[in-house]
Amino acid sequence: MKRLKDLAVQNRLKVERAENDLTQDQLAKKIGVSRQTINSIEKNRYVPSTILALKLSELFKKPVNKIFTLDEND
Amino acid sequence: MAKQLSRLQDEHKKLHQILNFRFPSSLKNIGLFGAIIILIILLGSKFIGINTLILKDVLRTLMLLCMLVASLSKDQLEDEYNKLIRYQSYVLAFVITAIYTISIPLIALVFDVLITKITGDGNVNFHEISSFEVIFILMGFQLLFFETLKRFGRAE
Repeated sequence: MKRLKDLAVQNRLKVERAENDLTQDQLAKKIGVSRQTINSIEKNRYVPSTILALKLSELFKKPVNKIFTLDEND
Repeated sequence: MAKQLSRLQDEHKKLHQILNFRFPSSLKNIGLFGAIIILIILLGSKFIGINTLILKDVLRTLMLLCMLVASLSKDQLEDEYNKLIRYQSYVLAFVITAIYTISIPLIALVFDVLITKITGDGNVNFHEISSFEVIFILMGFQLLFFETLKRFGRAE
């Protein structure tokens, strides 16, 4: 049984972006952020806010928890 | 009770307005350019004949003002990640400045005591850090850390 407090957010943003044939720059422009924000999310250096996660969910037409998941911390 | 709550909400709103205040992005380069030019003038002041204390003080204040404008100016695209690294840069700059302000006078004092013991001279002076030095280091490190953290964000 995983302990909730040991879980960290992982994401499939890079996969989703590739499936939609978008570059980091194109994705950034679509949701109104900088390319470094997208890069930092993909590298798991930054966990986006709820509003940004919802924008990504809207763009990829997938629920937030299909893009962002809670996994065991490395 | 309701009046007190409303006053608290007003204060909270005002605080947020101050926290979110930013100059337009066009002022960032003007601030940085101005600060660098004034720094060069201050460094070369002995060679170009500016030795009056008042003029130096005015130039120092102007330089700090330019740095403050650069520090408080928006980036071309000010998003949530940008806000986060801005706050991180302020925290890092604050910690570094606090360590510097506490440690430098102590280090200088230790050296002063050692030199006095070796040379036999009587006077031990406590090195005081000026307010200009503290604010200059604080804002210099903030600008430096902000650009460094932005570079980390771009790294593949």
